[in-house]
This record gives sequence, C-alpha cells and structure tokens, in this order.
Amino acid sequence: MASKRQTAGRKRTRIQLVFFVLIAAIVINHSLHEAGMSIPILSSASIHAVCPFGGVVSIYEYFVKGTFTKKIHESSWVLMWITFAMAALFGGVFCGWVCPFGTFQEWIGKLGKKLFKKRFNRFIPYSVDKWLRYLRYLVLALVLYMTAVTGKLFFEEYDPYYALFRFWTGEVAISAFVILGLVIIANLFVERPFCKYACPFGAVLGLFNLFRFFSIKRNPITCTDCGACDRNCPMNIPVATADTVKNHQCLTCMKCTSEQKCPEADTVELMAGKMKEAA
Amino acid sequence: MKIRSNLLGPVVLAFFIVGIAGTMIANYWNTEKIKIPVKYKTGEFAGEYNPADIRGSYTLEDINKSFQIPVEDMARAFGFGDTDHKNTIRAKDIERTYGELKQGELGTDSLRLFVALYTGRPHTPEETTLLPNQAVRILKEKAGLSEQQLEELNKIKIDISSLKPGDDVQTEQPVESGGLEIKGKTTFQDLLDGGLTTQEIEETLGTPMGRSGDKVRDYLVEKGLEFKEYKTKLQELADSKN
Ligand code: SF4
Repeated sequence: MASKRQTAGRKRTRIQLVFFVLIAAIVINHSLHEAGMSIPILSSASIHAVCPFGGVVSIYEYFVKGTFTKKIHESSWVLMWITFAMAALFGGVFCGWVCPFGTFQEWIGKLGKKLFKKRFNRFIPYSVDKWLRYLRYLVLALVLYMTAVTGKLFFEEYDPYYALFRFWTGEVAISAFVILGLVIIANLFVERPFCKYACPFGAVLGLFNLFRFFSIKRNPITCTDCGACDRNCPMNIPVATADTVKNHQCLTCMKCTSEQKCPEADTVELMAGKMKEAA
Repeated sequence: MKIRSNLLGPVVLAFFIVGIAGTMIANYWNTEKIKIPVKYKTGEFAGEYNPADIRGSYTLEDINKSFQIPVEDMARAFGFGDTDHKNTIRAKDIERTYGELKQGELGTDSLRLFVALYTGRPHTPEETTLLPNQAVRILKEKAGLSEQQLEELNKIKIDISSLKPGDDVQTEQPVESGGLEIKGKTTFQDLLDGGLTTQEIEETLGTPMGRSGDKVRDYLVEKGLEFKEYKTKLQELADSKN
C-alpha cells in the first residue's frame, strides 16, 4: 500500500496528467476541426490560445496598440492573469503542477534516473549551474524584444513545446524540432533542462518566488541537516541552508516538504506566516 | 497557515475553472481571431466591410458572416462544390490548391475580387489575379455586372476543370527577376531587405512604416489606403535600387 508521502507526491502528478491530457486533446481537436470534423463539447482552440505565455509576449502590443500579437487571443491574456495570480500566492506552481512541457520533461527524466541513478541531475556543479540558470532571462528578453519589433510570435520557431504538441502538422519549424531533440537528450542527464536554462515563461513566474505569499519554509530548530530536501529538489535548490526558499527556480513541487521527502514532521512546509508558529 | 498537496491541487484547478468560467460569463473569453474585415473609411461605401481585407485564414463561413454571400456559391466558384465541410474552407486553401499558374495567380486575392464583384463593392485586384470560369458564371448570374466589368473578367478567367482541389497542381515558379517584386505578401522586412530605407518607405507611403513582419498590403488596407496605388510607387523605388 502506498505510504502517505507517496500519496502526497501522486496528487501533483495526477493534476499534471489532467492538464497534459487536456491540452493534448484540445490541440488534436484543433487539427480535427481544421479538417472539418471535431469532437463536440471539447474546445478546438489553437495551442497558442491556451498558452498563458502568449499573454506575456502581447503585453507590449496590448498597452501600445490595444491589440494582441498575431495568433494570440483574449484567452491567453486571461490565462496569463490566472497564472500570475497563482504565482503571487504560490510562486512557480504553474511550472510544477500545470505546464505540460514540464510534465513531459519529468517523464523523460525518469528514464535519465534509470540510466544514471544518483548521478542524474548532478552532472554540473551547482556553483556554476546557478549562474547558467539566469540564461532563461536572456531568452525572455530576446523573445519580448523580437516579438515587439516584428509583431509576430517570434518564439514559435524555436519553441520545443510547440514542436511537441504540433509535430504532425507540418507547421513546425526545423529549429523547434532541433531544440526539442536537444531538450530530450539533455533531459537524460538533467531534470527539466528547458525549465532551468531556457523557458522564458518560467523566468517570468520565477520572479514571483521572491515575494510569493505562501513560501517553502524550513524550521532550523527541528531540521537535522540530513540533506533530504537538497537531494530531492529537482531544481537543485539548496533548501537545507535557507529559512525561506526565494530561489527563482522553485516549482512549488513540494518534494522537499515534510509531507514528502523531509523525514522530520513540520520542518519544511509550504506556508504563510512565521515558521516558529508551526514548530 | 500551511498548504498541503491535497489542498494545493484543487486550488490550482479552481483558479483555472473560476478564471475561465468568469471571463466566459463576462463574454471576454475568446480563443479565436474574430475574423471581421476592416470597413471602408471614406467614399460611397464608408462603413461597409472591405473585401480587400479578407485574409488567407478567413473561412467561407467567416466571409459569409460579413458579406452574406452563400457559402455554396463561393465553394462552387472556386471548384470546391463537391467538397464536404465547405464552411471551413479557408481562403488560403484556394491558394494552396491552385496558387501561381502560368496565366497568373489564383488565390486569396481571387476570392477578394469575387466577393467585391458579388457585393458590388470596389476592389482593385492585383495584376496577376485570376478567376475560375465558374466564378465568372456565378457573377454573371447573380451580380448584375456591367459590360465593361464582363469584358475585364473575360481577360482573367481561367478553366480550372483540370485542376480539381486535391489534385497535384503543377504550379509555375515565378521568374527570378533578380530584384524585389512587390506583392500582396510583401512585408516591410522584404522592402528593407530589398534595399529600401525606412525613410524612403515612409515618404512613399506618407505614413509611418509598420513593423517589420507586417504585410504592406494589410497595413495599408487597415489604414484605409489603396494598396495598388502604393504598390506601383514601391515597385518603382525597388527597381531603382537594381
Ligand atoms: S523541492 Fe522544494 S525547493 Fe525544490 S522546486 Fe520543489 S518546492 Fe521548490
């Protein structure tokens, strides 16, 4: 029988599966709709219409011209604000619980874990790696700038998520397939490589970790410094030395918490307010 | 206050459900481009939809909504009479099916011309635009064209009976002239790549340049300007660069 800790982890993976299946079904239905036959009730929206990052790349156009970037609609704008509201409360929860491309990378990562066991996700020393993680802000700046200048969805040609969910359409640029291939290869060595080094939306949401209402907090009084939180964090965040995790890469996956990998009760928690109150 | 997984999961779902349902109720949620062409800004037809703004992504159903032309007539006009799901045929499907032929081009601009003639609205087609024989037949029957218009149509009509939709259509590649050819698809970036400067483009158009990825034709139509007039001027400018 699954332990309480395993069940807690499965809750997240179930939610991830729901979103993955839903998005896959919608994009397949979009293709069916284009061919003149679609599944009733289910949305046949385009993949851009159900992606909150479309709202982010439209911000410039929206405030300057009052319109959205080509292929982006009100739905992306709404999803962006929903995601921002969630991030203000829980930080990178969208990345950890919702994003289908993050889920896909977690599945590939399981293969990597089988191949490299404990070495998986530990190939790059964190002292170097933590700086590489800022690369995604460069990607974000480039995408925002190019979208504003060209008025087109610049990132579409390089987006591995688009390549994964539209690979059968003939609309995907070779560059996006190449990047998807590179992500899959890197994923055999590293957990969520795209999220860590390149995702422009993750970069935006990561900023919310600096001031989110509910944070990952560690109680230094009950903590035994066993390092379980550090070892199990998919984003290699040093939880064991932080009182509050403000790292821009945190996915709010809750693996480090006392509910899952931390062996001490009430020691690492997702919570608001002061830790000692819970101690 | 602590949050556990069994609460965070439902909260995440609730955010999406409430957010989407709320904006649906407020009539804001929209996952599609609302395909409505711009209206003429001046002249006799001011306030009416301008066929020149029909885009490749418009379906026959979209066009029907704005111009009230039966989908069946448009489908038959362009050789899609036997196709199922006529409503979802897009202007770009005509372009994909026929495209550039020896005699000219059969694509989105052909549909624009058909719509304009059918509804009696002005539209200056591109020089290479063709219309299928059956489109001309439908126009004769339903649009009450003048002698002069019929004469013009006879010059650009083409037999597409051997080019059925779905056939492997032999299209002609445009002759490489070595220079930039200004077409409906030409973007501002193409103009810049063709050696024109921003200042020259803006002086020619008499308006600030659009963004590099914008099609010049769409940009001008949105501003209520006639593409054909500026096309000639831009072409002269592009030719002078060679
Ligand atoms: S394990 Fe903890 S610190 Fe690491 S990403 Fe998940 S919630 Fe954040």
